[in-house]
Amino acid sequence: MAAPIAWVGAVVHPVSGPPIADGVVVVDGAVIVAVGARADVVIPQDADVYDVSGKHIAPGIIDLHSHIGGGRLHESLGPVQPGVAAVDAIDPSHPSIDRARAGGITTVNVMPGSGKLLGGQTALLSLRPGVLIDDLLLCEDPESHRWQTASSLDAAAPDAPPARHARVCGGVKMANGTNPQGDGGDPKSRMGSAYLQRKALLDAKARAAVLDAADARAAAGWWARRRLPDVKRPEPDIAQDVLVQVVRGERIVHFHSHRADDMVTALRLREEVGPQLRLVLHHGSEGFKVAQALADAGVPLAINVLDTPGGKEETLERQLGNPAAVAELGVPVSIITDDPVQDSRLIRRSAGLAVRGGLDPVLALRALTLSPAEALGIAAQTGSLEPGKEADLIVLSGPPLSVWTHVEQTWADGVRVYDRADPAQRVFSTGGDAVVAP
Amino acid sequence: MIPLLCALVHVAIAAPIAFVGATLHPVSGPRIDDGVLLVEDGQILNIGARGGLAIPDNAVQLDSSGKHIIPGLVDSHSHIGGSRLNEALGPVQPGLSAVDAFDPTHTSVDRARAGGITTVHVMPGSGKLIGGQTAYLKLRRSSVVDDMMLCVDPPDGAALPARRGRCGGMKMANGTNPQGDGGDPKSRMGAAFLQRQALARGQQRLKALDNGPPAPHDPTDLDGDVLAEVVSGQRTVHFHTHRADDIATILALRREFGIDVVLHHVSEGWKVADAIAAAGLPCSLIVIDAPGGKPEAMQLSLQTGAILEQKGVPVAFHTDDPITDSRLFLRSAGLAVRGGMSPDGALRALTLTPAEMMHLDDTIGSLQPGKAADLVVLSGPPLSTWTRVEQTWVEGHKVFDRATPEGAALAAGGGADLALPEEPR
Repeated sequence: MAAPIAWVGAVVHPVSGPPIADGVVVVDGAVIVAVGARADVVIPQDADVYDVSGKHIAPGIIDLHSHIGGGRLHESLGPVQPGVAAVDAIDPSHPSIDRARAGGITTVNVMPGSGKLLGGQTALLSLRPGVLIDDLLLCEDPESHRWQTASSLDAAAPDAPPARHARVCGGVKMANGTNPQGDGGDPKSRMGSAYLQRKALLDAKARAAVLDAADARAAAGWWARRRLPDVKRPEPDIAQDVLVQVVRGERIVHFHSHRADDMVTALRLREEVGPQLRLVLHHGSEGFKVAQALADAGVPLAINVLDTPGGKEETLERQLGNPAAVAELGVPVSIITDDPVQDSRLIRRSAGLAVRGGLDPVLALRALTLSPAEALGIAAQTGSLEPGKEADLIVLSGPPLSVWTHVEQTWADGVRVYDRADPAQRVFSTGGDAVVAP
Repeated sequence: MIPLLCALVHVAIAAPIAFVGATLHPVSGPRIDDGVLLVEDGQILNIGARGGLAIPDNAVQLDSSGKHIIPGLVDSHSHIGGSRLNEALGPVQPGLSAVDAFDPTHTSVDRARAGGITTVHVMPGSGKLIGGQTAYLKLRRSSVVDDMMLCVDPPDGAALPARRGRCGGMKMANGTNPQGDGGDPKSRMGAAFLQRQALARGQQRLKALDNGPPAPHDPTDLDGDVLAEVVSGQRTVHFHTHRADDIATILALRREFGIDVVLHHVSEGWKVADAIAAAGLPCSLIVIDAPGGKPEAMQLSLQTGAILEQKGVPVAFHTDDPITDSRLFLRSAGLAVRGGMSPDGALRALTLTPAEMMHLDDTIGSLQPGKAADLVVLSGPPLSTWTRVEQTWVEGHKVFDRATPEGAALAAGGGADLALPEEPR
């Protein structure tokens, strides 16, 4: 049993509360056991104590939207392909994952691309060490709602089907606007996009109702059964049953959308399925135009902050003031990389640019940590420095949103996964895309 | 059937507004020289000659001497909104809706306001036999299209967004446009067959729905649900058609399926005016000064409006924007007068008649007490080519003003002129 670890003397940013000037963070195993001012925290006798005076400690960064892992994340089986899962295309040894760790990212939602209306299942990864992707993949336990690695679930139930497909281990990616328009079976217009997405979701809603009716029938006694609708339980369907999870609110929809009208279309789709549908809007370049509608819907927005006007017509009106404008009306904002659109190592800079656009610095740090954790439904486990949460944290050389602050160490689940002091790891911070682990 | 404004209608608690001294064209009645138009809470409160009605003490008086005021223009056929309105999922795609492709912040919408248009009918294109659902939109200022939609009988169960109710009609098309590759028909025979087949499917769905609403576990039929509205006459079909024989095909479809139809374009309508009049079908005409650009529109005539008017057919004009510019909509009616139509009938064809075609005439289309305060302030007589739209008002709110720099740019600039960007702070 390894000794507890205590970091002493840093400016600690719990995010769940105000910064602590001369703070202490104590971790035991994979769990945070204490966070507070030096005077208030009792450091265990057997702890390994690190003096981090002059440093800052923040929660590990959560990137709600990334494409790291080295695999192609665009498929073209059709405009709606819910059976496809990003986890099957991620290489856990790819240097892009080490670069994300070097950027201070400890949790990442790896998504299929936006070239399809429904591109497939996303993969929620903890960037803890691992050989198999299942060692990193987080899956939800339906009873406790805690997220555990697919490997641990597979080890606990050797005869069960693999957790990566049998459990909810991420959301689904949807997209509207110009990206999913194309040739073949793809739509050519926003009308067609909305129709095909609507049809997919409402068909799934009907399928969920069939499954519910069949379950109710099976559970009923012979007498009560006579009064129930005579429906037969359909055969399992590895694609359609993913959408059933979506319409039941068991699986989050991560919806790529830039233009204001496209975001409103996504809100209306949710209205049709029902309030249980969990929707997170991504990019939201024109969010400032419909901030009130977004706030009224209570839908989180995951924004990538670019310093160029985007590269396609529908993003020309993007602006640095967007995160501030929507946050002002109460929209929960997360900042994302969309790596490789932006480098995972510069995600803190995106939050800094949002501050330049008017966002409250406290909200900007939250947008990298607790807000994405809430959007993902994992805030009980990570996203802030609080006793009982997982030991996902970063040690910084200076204030979190400064451009010249370095990530010195990244810890995921109580394990150091990046250390800038080690030259072999430092290259992931300073080197180009071709750097590979020695 | 009571049309409802299924949208956020801001209830303005503001002083009444009195437009004083203009020549008023109520359309529902004779012209009033030196008139007074009273507006309150987004509605027309009263209209009459100066001295003939009391102006409330608290009213804001706007001197409109020398101006002409007409009802807000109703464009019964447009493609504004900046998005592609042609889809290609198949020749029959009734489940699509134009509202899902309308950007309320697009500059084309502002140009329509600059043309005096206050209500617009945005349609899918004519490249498909059934191109999708159309959208009746009031050009209120909003960045959320749902705030602009005019809906009838919102869907049961308040959880459903109003845009899934009946907030428009259905676009259909025959002639050469919907012919093409892939699953599209190659002939008028194929077109008529596929349209009959689709409407028959609507009848079957309607029959099924007559036995009660579908249970949650019943399969969905998004296309069938809308086709059922069409064959029950609840959703108006707006039918793109040019040639006389294609018009006759529509008359037969209507006889077979009992649909509520408005004919659009109707280039050869003058050839079959008696048949159209006998069927009582309204016609929404495009007036262009060039012969069309395709063989089936070569016999388009400036006299069509006049001929149909003489036969008693309800006539409207439309822009088909971007085919004709929304800012030149008044000119279309002027050209119809050149072709022999009565000036009163031509102004009605821009306002009350298209409102009637969309079954919106109890709230818009004329300057009458109780109707929405949708109006246009003009620099001169409505159908003069050099008359300018000075202001456009929707429900008591000024949505276009040529006196402002951005208004002047919208009125005079090209299609690429963007409205001034909205700054969040």
